[in-house]
Amino acid sequence: MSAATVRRVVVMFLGLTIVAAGMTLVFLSMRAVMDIGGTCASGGPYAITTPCPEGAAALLPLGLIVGLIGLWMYAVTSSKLPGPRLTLLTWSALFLSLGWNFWQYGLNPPMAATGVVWGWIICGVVFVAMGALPLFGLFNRDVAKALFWADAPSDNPVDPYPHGVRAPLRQGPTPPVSSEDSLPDALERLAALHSSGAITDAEFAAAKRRILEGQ
Amino acid sequence: MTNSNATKAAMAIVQLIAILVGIGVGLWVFQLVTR
Repeated sequence: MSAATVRRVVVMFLGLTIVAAGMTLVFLSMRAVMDIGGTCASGGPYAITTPCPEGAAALLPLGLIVGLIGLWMYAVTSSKLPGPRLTLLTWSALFLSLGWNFWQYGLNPPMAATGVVWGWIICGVVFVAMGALPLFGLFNRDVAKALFWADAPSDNPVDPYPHGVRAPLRQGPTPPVSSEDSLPDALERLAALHSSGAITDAEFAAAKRRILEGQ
Repeated sequence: MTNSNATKAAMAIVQLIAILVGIGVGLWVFQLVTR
């Protein structure tokens, strides 16, 4: 295993750890806010009726930002490693887990609220629908293999032209040239060779005879 | 790096451990901040 591969595995591990930690923080802090009715406030000059739970409100955006940084680390490195590709599934994990919160608290509202909180149920339907989108890729074997369980790209792609040999641009037999076109050209070239002294009189005569006889 | 099933399974285990560690870290940080 090369040093680059080890580095990728380490960064991938750290990235996925950060993603899971960020998502856990978002999930828990959302529940903490929903426990007190779903809205809260902190700071500012106004009288606050529902203060935010200690630290929980800040953890929600913090978890998202940190999680996105971890996701970037994971996506960059895991694309060069074999095995699971969870980048798209983190979308599902985030929306389905938050959708679960909406459904649970919508059906069993905390505090004084009774019955079903339809606002949260509608949010739950939207979140589950959004989270389920990437999962449709699992139904197609080829798509699932490409998106979620892939081979590592080769560092040294196979040279389709080993030894510098290139395939000819045009395949197949050379089209025949009509003898009417080639005969004068051949005679002219032969005459040029003879006049330049490249061939003797006897060679010239023999070659000329072969050309005229069509050999 | 080879693309054998053994390598992919090893990567899957590494990623599963990363997820579990991450959830643990998230729970720990949440407890720490909201205590």
